[in-house]
Amino acid sequence: MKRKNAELTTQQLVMIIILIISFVVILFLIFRLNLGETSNKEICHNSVILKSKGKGLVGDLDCKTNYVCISGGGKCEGINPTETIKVNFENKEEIMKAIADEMADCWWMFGEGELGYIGVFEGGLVRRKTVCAICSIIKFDEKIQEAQKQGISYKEFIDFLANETRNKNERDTYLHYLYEIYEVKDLLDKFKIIKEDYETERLIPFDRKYVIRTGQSTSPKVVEALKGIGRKIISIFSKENKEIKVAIIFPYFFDVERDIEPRCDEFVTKA
Amino acid sequence: MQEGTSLNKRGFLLGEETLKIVLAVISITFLIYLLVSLYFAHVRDKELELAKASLNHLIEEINANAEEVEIYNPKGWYISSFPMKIIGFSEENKIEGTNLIIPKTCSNIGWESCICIYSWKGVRNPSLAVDNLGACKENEFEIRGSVSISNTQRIENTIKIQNPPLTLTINYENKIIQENES
Repeated sequence: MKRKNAELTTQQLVMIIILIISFVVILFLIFRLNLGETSNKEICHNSVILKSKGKGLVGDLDCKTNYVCISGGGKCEGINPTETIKVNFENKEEIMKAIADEMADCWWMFGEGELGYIGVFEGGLVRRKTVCAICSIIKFDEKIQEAQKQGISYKEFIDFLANETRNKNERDTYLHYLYEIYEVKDLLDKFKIIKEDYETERLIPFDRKYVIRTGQSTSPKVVEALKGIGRKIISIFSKENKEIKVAIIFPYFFDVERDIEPRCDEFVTKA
Repeated sequence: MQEGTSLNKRGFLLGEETLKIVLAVISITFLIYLLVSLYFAHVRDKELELAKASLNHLIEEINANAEEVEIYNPKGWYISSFPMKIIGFSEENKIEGTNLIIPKTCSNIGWESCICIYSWKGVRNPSLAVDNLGACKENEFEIRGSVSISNTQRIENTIKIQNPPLTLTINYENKIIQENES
């Protein structure tokens, strides 16, 4: 009788050990997946939909700035990253893909230019203003800085956006997804700032801090100015009702200290 | 006699209608007040949430030894370090006295120094403004900057988030945070 009990206990013990090990393995895999990061972006996307569908009366934006360290194996100085993207520090394409993916995530989070998230009271009927979202703040680690001393140029980066897709199976290029344009030439015709950066081959040195910004504006001046250079105009209520026009500020990647038009009256993202 | 009764009846009806209108006006006014209060409470909450996030970000960046930090919101709010110096001076610009203040939000928890982001409207004293609508964190760093309250008073250790992004430079040797002028 005693032996039987002991055998049972050993079996139970083995079962418990197996269970604990399996649990630890599952936990490890879950943490490796970095689900928290995805959910922050999803929370933001959902809040944008809610605010848009609630006609600005219901729902609040819940979007956080993503602090990104693009790392070739080292640490990013002067930033406390919420996300670290590992790349091969000698491969420029990998670095550009990391930036392009952040821009695409930003565009997706804020409704791909189809959703108006400026509240009727905040920026619509009562006050007209330009609201911006800082989707990401990006820094590069020392290894990338050392390996790519010159950095990359905007020409290289825009060409990359025009030729590459997000996934291998996808047909849509980054450029088309972000700006609804296939050809670089058309992009330059429409966006003055991008044209300047492209034609002067402005550099993106990796020792600087960068920002990815998008936004919307109900300011008549901005709406008119953006209309002139072909930016998307949507209505805050619906496409048919053009009562209040909202200009979409397409996502762009630039030095944090650079002042790019239009100036933002307000930032909606949490630090 | 009959005429008199009819007049009384008409008068009674008039009073009833007036009462209804008065009650309706009071109710509608109260409803409008309630809605406006709800809206502004909501806006305040939203801005306070942004302030808390910005303050957390600043403290995290200080802990990560960052040399520069960008603060994007809430626009029009103030960022101050406490104890804060309030300087009183004469019309000839001579300093007449200084006063050190710290908000109850910090002192009640036993913090000797703190950094706060707060909305400063309607009250004269910034520490009251912090207690009213602000977020604070314990920190030893001193904010360099000043804001004039009147012709004879100026507060130190304060920067207004005026044209965001506000870029702050952090000096770890002297433990000073100041606005980047470049």
